[in-house]
Parts: sequence; C-alpha cells; structure tokens
Amino acid sequence: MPAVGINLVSQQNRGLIRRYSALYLLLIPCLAFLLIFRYYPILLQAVLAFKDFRLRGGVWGSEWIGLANFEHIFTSPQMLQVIRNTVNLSLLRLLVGFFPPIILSIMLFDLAGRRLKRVCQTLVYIPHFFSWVIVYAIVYALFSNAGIFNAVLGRFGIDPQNFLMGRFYFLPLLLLSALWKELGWSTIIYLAALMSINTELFEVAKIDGAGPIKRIRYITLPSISFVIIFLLILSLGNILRGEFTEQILLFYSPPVYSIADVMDTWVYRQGLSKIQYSLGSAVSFFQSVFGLILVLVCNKLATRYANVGLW
Amino acid sequence: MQQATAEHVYQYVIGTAIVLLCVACVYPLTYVVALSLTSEKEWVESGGFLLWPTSPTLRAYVNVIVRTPVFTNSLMVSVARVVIGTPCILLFTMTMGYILSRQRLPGRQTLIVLVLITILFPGGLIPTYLVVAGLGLLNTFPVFFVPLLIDSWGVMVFKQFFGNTPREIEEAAYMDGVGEVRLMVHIMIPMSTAVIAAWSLFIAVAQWNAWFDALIYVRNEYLMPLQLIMVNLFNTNLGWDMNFQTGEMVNRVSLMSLRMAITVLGTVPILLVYPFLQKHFVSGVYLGSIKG
Repeated sequence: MPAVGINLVSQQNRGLIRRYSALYLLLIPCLAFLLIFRYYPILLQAVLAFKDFRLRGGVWGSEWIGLANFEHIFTSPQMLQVIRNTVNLSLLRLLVGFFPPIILSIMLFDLAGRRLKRVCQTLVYIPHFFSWVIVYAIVYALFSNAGIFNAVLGRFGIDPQNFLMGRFYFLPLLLLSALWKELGWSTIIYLAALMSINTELFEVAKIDGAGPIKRIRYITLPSISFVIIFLLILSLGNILRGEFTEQILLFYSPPVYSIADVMDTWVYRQGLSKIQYSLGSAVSFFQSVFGLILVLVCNKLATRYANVGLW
Repeated sequence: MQQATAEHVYQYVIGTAIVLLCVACVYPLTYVVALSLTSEKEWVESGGFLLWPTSPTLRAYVNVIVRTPVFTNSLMVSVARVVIGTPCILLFTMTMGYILSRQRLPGRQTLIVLVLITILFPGGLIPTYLVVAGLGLLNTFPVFFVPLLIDSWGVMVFKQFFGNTPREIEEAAYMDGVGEVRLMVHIMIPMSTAVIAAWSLFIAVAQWNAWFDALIYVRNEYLMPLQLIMVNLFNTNLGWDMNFQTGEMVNRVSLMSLRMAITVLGTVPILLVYPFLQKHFVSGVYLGSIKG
C-alpha cells in the first residue's frame, strides 16, 4: 500500500518535500489551530443548525430536527425583522460612509497647503485605532443627559433630549460615530490610487483652462473609478456580515432593539446568552452561506467591471 | 484672471473644510480630557456647559489609579494581553504566511485555499464558544490569544510580502546548504523588519482594544481587561445618569470625571504608539491590512 502512495509523488516533488520537511513540521501546529478553531466550528455550526440542542445531550446527543430551525427563522416576524435590520443598517452605513472618504481624499489631494495637509492626515487616522468602547465614551461625554449638547440646548431653553436611549436619535448617532471613526482611515486606499495619477495631466488641463471642478470630473474621478467600483462591490458583498456588532452592542438598549438588532447581536443576546444554541447556529449558518454567495458573486462582478478581484 | 479666482476660491473652500474636519476630530478628545480634569464643584456649577476647567485637578486620576483596585487589576490584564498575546499571534501568523510564500512548496495551493476558506466562511459565535469551552479555556488567561493565533488576513499579507523577496536569495542559500528554517529565521525575517513591526503594532492595538471576547469567555472579575471594565462602567448607567442630579460624591469628583479619566487612561497607550503606526501605514506596508 505505501508504495502506491509514494509512486504518486513524482521524483521532483519527493525532493522538494524533503527539502521543505522542516517547514512542514512547523506547519503542523498551524494546521492544528485551523482545524480546531476554524474548521471544527464550521462543522459544529452545520450540525447544530439542523438539531434541537439540549444541554443534557450536548451537540452530538441532541435530536435532529431537519429544517425546523430555518422554518422558524423565515416565519417568525421577529427574526425577519432582524434580517431586515441587518441589511438596512449595512445599506445605511454604506450610504453615509461611502462617499465622504472619496470627497476627503480628493480634497487632501488637491490641497495646496502642505503643512495643513500633513496635520490633517495625522489627525483623521487616529480614531480608527480607538476601540468602540472609547468611541462610546466620547459619544457619552457629548450626548448623555449631562453631556455638552444637552447643556447647550438648555441654554436655548430646550428640554434635555434622550440622545443615547431615544429611538429617534439611535440611527444618526450610530452612523455618524462610525463615520467619525473610519472617515480618515478609509481615505488611505483612495489616496494611494490618486498618487499614481500622472501629474502632467493636471498641468495640461490647467493650461487648457480647466477649473477645479472640471479637473475632478474629467481626470481625478475617472482615474480612481476602478477603486470606487471595487470597494462598492465589496461592501455590497458584505451586507449580511455585520461589521458593526461591537458598536451596536454598546450603543443599543431595549427601547431600540426592534430597529437595532442585527443577526450578530441577536446571536449573542438570544442565542448565546439564552442558550438557544441551535437557533443561533442556524442564524449564523444562514449568514455564512448567503454571505459567501454574495461575496463570490460580487467578487465576480468586481473582476469583470473593475478588473480587480479579491484573489 | 477668472481661472485664478476659481483656483483661489477652491483652495479656500477645501482648506476651510479640512480645518473644520480637524476640529471635529480633535475637539471631542479635548472635551473628554477637560471633563476628566474637572472637580465636582465646578462640574455642578457649570451645569454641564464647560470648555476647560478653570482650576484643573488630577483628583479623578488619583481616585482611579490609587483607590480603584478593579482598575489597576484590569490594567495589568490588558498589559499582559498585549505583552504575551502579541508575540504568540505574530509567531503563528508569520510562520503560516512564510510557509505559504514558498512558491515551490508541494501542496501550497491547497493550503492557500484552506486559509481563504476561513476568511470566507466564519464558524460563527456559538460554535466557536463551544470549542473554547470544550477545551477548558473559559475563565483562563490564554483565552485572550489562543483562539486568535492565526489571523488569516495577516497570513495573506505575510505570504504576499515574503513572496516578493528575490528568489535568488532562497536558491543561493539552498545551494550553500542553509536549511529552510535557518533561511527563514536568519535571512528572511531580518530582511522584513518593517512589515513585522507594522503587524506587531497592529496586533498589539487589537489586543489592547479587545473586549467582546472577554465579555463572552470571562466571568472572573480578576481576568477582565480594561476595555471590559469600561464597558461595565458605562453600561450600568446607560442613559439614566442619575448621578448627575444627586451629584454623587466620590471624594469630590463627579462620576462623569471618573469615567472620563478612565477613558483617557485607556486611550493614552494608543496615542503613544500612534506615531509608529502612522509611519508604517503611510509607507504603504499597511495597505494589505485595510480590508480586515
């Protein structure tokens, strides 16, 4: 038997395997990690999604119940709302967060004052490295009942507004703080693309009498359009993957659950904390499968229309 | 002439916009610092309307650092997370990336697909929790870095980076009888200090900022990192803020000042490493990580 296996490996490969044997040895712990912490959960997820998990039976002893979990997800109004919220919030975030970085990078690129440009670039990247807890603390300082916004409103005789718990303010606060945190960081990729534009184009356009608006319209934007399209398609592919789980967990409260609960927060609050492991896993499974399909489709679109793919 | 005016107006408009943006970035931070330096008396008198305290006091910081054992303990947990977690994660991620960067390694394509799948198909919160619990890692310190040992995006960046080093070096080393591990440790890694430094900082910041894993995996108060203590500090009173009306006296510092002092203390380490971070991501080493 072993002889057959060895024959399958060509002479050259055998030499290479011997040459890299030490690296294969180093690979063992890495692969063990991937199997235990990345692949085994995928298996568990797929199994749990079709079972009725009971603590007594554990994952393997619990009963198979077919598609009952998914039936529940797609018929319960609460779960449908959670799925809608996930898509809604992703789209809103895209709407609010997608264009400002493009505008800012063009402004930074066109700005003549070198020193101001450097100062700004130093400052706007900082919030990206703060945790959401710190960002929440800052929002708290500004918008809590004792915060400065309510103090200013008080000066004008307006009653204090419940910014942090109010349904009305939840979405704007969520979206604007996300914009504040990531605006600067998101410009990096555009600035990198802008740097590669041939500056002679701008000189020639100036001599031909093209004003700033015309230069943006006919040179700057077309030169970075492939990056814009690529990032847009990529974000559309990630619509089911809430990238804002931590943020929502900090910002939301019972009064806004109905508009703020996304799949990831639901899985944490209802699935993990209330030991509804099967239902929670079914939600994640749905999220992973559809997320994967979306990403693959969008990546295909990106390679076709922007000529850049993820791999 | 008309064109020159248009250019002037344009520069003026974007200049103003950028100055305003800088203010919007910095002002909230200075406000947090101002609150952390305000005494109880001044805070109550100001009615919340305050730009900078007239008589700044460090009392809130003294309270937090000296009189709050929970804080000092959580600070040590966070520091330990960074000091122990960062090298472990770096070691595994870098090794995996290096192995995948060897063009002629048999099985390379399969391994790359294996890593890509982990990016595209997450295992989900609950199954991962069950695995961590099953291994007995709940309420232990290693839970902060063991489930994170291989960062798949990091592997891809390292793969890309090590793959770009000249093939001649590798072949010359091989001809001279240098083993593959020695080649990695003594030649390739010293050649790549920039990308390694950048990623170490990146991992360190992520370790410092992490709290969600601690929320799920840790019940023991002595294992809670600073960020999780901050979450609890803000969430117990979320939105009600009753302490404002009663003006709760904790050694003549308002609760707001205490909270902001802790916030500042949690932010300072980030600001301290920021210049180094900036140096690396501006030089482009970082670009590969943006998607993460």
